[in-house]
Amino acid sequence: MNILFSSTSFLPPSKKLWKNLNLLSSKLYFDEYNNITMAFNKINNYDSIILLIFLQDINFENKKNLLDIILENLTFCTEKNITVFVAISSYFYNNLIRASKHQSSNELEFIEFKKNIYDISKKNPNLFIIDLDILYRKIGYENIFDTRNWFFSRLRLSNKGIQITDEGISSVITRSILPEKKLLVLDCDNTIWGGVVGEDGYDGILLGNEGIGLAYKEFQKEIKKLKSEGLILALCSKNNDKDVSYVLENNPEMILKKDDIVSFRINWQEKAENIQSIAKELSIGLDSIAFWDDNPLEREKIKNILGEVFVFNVPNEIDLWPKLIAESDIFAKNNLSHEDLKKTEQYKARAQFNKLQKKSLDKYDFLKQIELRPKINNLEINDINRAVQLCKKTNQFNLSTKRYSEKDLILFLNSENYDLFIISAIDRFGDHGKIGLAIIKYIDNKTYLDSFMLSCRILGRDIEFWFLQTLLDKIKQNGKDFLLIEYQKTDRNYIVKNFLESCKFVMKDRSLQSDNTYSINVSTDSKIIEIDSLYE
Amino acid sequence: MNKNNKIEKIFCEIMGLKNTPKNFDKMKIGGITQWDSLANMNLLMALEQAYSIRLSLVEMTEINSIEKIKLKFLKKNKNL
Repeated sequence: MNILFSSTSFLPPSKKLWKNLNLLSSKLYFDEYNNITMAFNKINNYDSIILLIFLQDINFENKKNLLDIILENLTFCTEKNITVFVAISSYFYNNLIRASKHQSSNELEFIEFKKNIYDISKKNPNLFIIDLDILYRKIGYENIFDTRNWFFSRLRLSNKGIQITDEGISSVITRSILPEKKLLVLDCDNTIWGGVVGEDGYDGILLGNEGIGLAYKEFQKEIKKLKSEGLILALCSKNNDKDVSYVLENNPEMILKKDDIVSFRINWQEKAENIQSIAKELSIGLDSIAFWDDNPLEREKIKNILGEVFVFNVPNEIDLWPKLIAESDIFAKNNLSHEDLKKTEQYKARAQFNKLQKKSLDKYDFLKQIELRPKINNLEINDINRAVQLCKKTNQFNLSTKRYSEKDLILFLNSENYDLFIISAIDRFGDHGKIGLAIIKYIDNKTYLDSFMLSCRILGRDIEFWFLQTLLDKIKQNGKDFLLIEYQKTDRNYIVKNFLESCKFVMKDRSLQSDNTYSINVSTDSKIIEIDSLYE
Repeated sequence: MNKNNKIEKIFCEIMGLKNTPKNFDKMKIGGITQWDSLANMNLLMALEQAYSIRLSLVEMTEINSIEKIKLKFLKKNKNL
């Protein structure tokens, strides 16, 4: 990623100082400072631009100040599909007495600017706001800014300030590229409550509105908040199943209820085994899992055995926990989609589905029983958030694992060379929402299946056959003969290869000299599946 | 580590040099192309961190040679 970094005041362009930003960009170019207006002219050469704006640097005496110019140019940037990160700090010299009756006019203008820029970002998926004050206030402005550096070299920040700014901006950029963790696995005793339920009893554990008990309760509250944003929860505790259930059902202080938890492993087995089996049950990759346990030994074991799982470095001081989990970057999203809000239901339905599937002997009977209704639609602009999420997060049933960004998808959407389809499904277990994405690419009179992915929670319903068949029908309607499919192997997506090789009419394409290229003759009437009647 | 070496090491790191230049002790800003005013600031800030000493604005502007650097960082609390 090529990044242009433009700031209202001087920044020393040292790789050592901007460690994190240098790590995540292939090229980080520091523009001349106080030159943001000109920076907009150069953006064509970059993938992203960071604008660092200090309120102190803005000259509000100009009729049209820098803030207005920035607002005008942002829309222009996003039309060009350039990702813009606007990092801002509203620190300025002020005085408590003066502020006791008057809000400074500069501050008001800045608040207005912030409001406007957030408004633009709502309509604009490529614009991210980095409110540095959130971090700066935590550390203290005195430590962030350095007046000596300002007069010496027009640098507002101290060494510490540069470090914090680097970390803050990098964390937002990282999350715009990499997915967050999906599942939090929690221990019980001395983790979501104080004490040991087996010894203290369901009502003797520490949980309530005072002292230590309150800290645990607030910890639960923060977890519940994350759950409401789409995080799914599992309990994994060395305990008696009955004891833990009893607390969940009967302790009135519990914020987390049985319904909030998707998967339970309350037993005396090794936690590593338990976490692996949860991952399997929910079809979630280990790298999407975070683990929180008060016991350092358990944490160490997971780190050693399941290196991909994110293990929280849990401090001994319980009072720090609510803040730590609430502020953690690993769950934080910069885009909440409608699907996120229903996550727990969906994963529960999946676990239930797995159970029924075990019982049911005949697969087709079973598929009939669940009354699956898939639906395919052309991707619309409203679906973009979800589509990007699918691109980011789908690891298993993913043909090419191309991690397209919002910018890419919008480009495809507006291009004649691409068709984008999103599928959704409902069955007896609930509304699964939008669970799959396909991208068809037309180049040189050839038709390619560029991307083909299904969320793992829908797998096991043979919906992939229906999906591919429906695409073939559409391609046929468009008068094309062949569909070329290039499977791109990753560590996780072998099921796609199995699927392709199990389709009746999918042939290995020898002309392309690759073991992983397939083609389907669309013009023949043959169906790749016989079971489409199931879905009518 | 020898006190002198610590300064040399930081200097080489900031300037991107493999070896300490000859006549190190007599060098001044501009003595090598790498040592411009920006590098000087980086150098002073790195030294501040390494020695837990904070320079004043006046000192930042005045310290422009190895001699002055040593004077400041090796002899604590001694004014220039």
